Amino acid sequence: MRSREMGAPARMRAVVAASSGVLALLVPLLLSAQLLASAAPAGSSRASSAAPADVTFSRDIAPILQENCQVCHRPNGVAPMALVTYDQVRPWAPLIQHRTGLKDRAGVMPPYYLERGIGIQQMQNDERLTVEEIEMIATWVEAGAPEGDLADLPAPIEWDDSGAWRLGEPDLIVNTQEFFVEAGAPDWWGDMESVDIPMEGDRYVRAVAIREVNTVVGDAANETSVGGRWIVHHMIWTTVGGDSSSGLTAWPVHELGRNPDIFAPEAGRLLRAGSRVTSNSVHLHSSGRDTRAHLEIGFYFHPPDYQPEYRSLGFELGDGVNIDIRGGEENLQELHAYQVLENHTKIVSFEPHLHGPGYRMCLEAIWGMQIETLNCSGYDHNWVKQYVYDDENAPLLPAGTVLHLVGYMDMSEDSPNVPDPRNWQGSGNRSITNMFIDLGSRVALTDEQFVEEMARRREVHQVSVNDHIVGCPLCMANLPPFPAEEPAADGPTNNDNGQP
Amino acid sequence: MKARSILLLTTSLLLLAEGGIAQSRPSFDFGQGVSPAFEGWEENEDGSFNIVFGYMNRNWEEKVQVPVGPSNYFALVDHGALNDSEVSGYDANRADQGQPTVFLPRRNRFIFKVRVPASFAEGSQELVWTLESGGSLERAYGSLARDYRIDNMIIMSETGALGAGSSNEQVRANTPPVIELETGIDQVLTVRTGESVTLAARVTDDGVPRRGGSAPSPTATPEQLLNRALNPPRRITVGKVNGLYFSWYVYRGQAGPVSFDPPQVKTWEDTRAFANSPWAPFWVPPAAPEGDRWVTIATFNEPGTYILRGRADDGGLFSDVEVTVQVTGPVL
Repeated sequence: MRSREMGAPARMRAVVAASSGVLALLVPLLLSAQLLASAAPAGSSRASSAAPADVTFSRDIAPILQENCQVCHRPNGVAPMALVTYDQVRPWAPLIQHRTGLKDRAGVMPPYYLERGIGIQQMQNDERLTVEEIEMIATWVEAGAPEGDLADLPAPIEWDDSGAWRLGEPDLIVNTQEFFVEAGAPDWWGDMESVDIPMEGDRYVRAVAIREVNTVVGDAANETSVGGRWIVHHMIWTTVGGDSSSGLTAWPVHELGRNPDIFAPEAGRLLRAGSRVTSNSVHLHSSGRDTRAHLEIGFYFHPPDYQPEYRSLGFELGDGVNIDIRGGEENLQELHAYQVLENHTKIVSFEPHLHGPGYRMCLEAIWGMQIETLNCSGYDHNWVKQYVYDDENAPLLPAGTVLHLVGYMDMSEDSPNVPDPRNWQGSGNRSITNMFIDLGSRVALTDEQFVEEMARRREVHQVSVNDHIVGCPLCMANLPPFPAEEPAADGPTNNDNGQP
Repeated sequence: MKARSILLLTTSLLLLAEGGIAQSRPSFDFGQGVSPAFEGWEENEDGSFNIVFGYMNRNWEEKVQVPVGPSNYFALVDHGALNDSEVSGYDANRADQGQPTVFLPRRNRFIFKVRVPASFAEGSQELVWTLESGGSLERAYGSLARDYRIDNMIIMSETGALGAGSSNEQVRANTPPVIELETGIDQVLTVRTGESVTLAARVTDDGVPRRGGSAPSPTATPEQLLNRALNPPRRITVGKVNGLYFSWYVYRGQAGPVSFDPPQVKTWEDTRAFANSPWAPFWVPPAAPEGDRWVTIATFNEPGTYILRGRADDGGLFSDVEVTVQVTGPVL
């Protein structure tokens, strides 16, 4: 039986209270007077088919802010300003219009860059505002940001300390050692102290979330650096040991500003009792200020009797050796990488990983003559986002499919995360040199699982013969189910370390 | 930084994954230009700074040659003064800062340093390397920009010795190889065309990082060798096979008329499988010669002045020596 209880938690559960009160760099809005000035409304009339003409804060804007912004922007929240009351919001109205209007480009708020109008749109924990909400905000600001009738205000949310996690309070939280990076220190890579995991029995994990809890101890508050909201720019980590086996479980790479991993429902990853979190690959980069930080790793468990059915699939899609980005180019520069799928594959998530000049990444599937874009997204090397597909819309690709990854690099004067865009850039591990990788996750499917998944997909979407399901080139083949077989004697096929 | 040394194979897990291929640009052999690269800066104990440069030659075969002059020069200018490629900052007195005139194929990182005084930190000047090749003029703008600060760990990481970014206390304590050149240092060697010089150097190292790569078993069958060769190379971040080697190449002069015996390990990032380069999949570092004494015979077929650079590289860090050879015409 598949476990389907995971689902996407309601956005409103993602309530925050920074329990430690030291999330000073977890700041969704990077503010500057210059940006604020440039964000002033033009005053031009703005056609909006979706927004009513008399948009008010109380009736229309406050609910949007409650659902999408106050998770960080609230008193004692982690953002630099609260966006709860009208008096708090009004001074920022032009900036709110500017940042929400950036759509899928770096700087957009909330920070989530999936492009609309191309590829699969059904994602778990989609943080985008709707088009209607964006237009509503613009209409409101351009009308002078009226407050409206106080009686229209929604009831205020009572924030508690459980919601700093986007998926709700984890079942288990493990803290790493504290890291300290001086202002202006060079990049550092290396190992960290291992951390024992306080568990009594093995459990399969359905999701894992990591957040950097940091505090600036230096005085140079105006100093900045590439990805400078965080000092842990990546951590490649595993859990090892435990009573049941000396085996190892690999977990998704942590990156700066990253959102949670939600594994395929049929492919939970094993966290062994008595094991410990280890990493020999922590990449630290200066925030431009003396900064202390540690990581909190939140595990979300499947029920105790859960057993995986699918095999997690490791893969490499990217190019770390041929990156060649000219300085000072006004046009975007492209990188390309390809991969032939050796297994029937369900893509669980798409995770663009670029570095400073990263602007956009697209993933397309080539099945014979059929070429289809699965997704494109913008990129911001302050918030490295992954896009976790809704399970009933995740790409189902047959073996032999060619995946084509395209990266778009911005070396123009306006590129926000490049210290000196005049300079040529190549590959490297530093935050100012470049990577080009899809770090998403996948599961391998047997022939039977593949056919079963496609049949279920057709059923869920109630397709007709004239339909097409994006990312599923064989879904309309209507292949017959495999005949029932006796259950295998040796149990599930999941590979504990997440690799093939 | 407090840390416990736990060596895990986390990054190597990536190597177990499904394969991929990647190619960002066409593989030109000849005719393309070279981009000068600002690699970063480091501070010296006396407060001065080294501004470090390298380059990217877009050719896979051509060793591009650009003599020091209006097409290959340095300038110390106010920030932004050389943003316009039509503007020249050429000053013959400052043009030569030790940059190469022979550019090996592909990526060559951390190739040379230009020392600037401590006062460089206070002013608004920048150190600009202008290079015109392949029909285009490109520049590298050296500065003390915060994100560009480098040290030995960054050199090890950027050249691929640390994989995707793994280190432990032993690796972090790595020291570069030491070269004792028997012939030619601080002197100019003179030979006639067609003649050779013997270059001998003793190279010692601390053995860090641990030697990588492995040669196939001497008893491997042809089928086993074929299966090994058919394993497609997979690398999504810069990677390198660690292991000490010592290699000569032409740094200044003409590349073509010089031959080396034995053939030298490529010091550039030849990432093609089975290439003789530490960045090539399946590369195996050479065995250390007897007495750690590396002997190379260089033969010159055309007159000219050549600067040969010898690089000793342990995989993580490297040291360079240079020898100047004056080649005169043959006896008539």
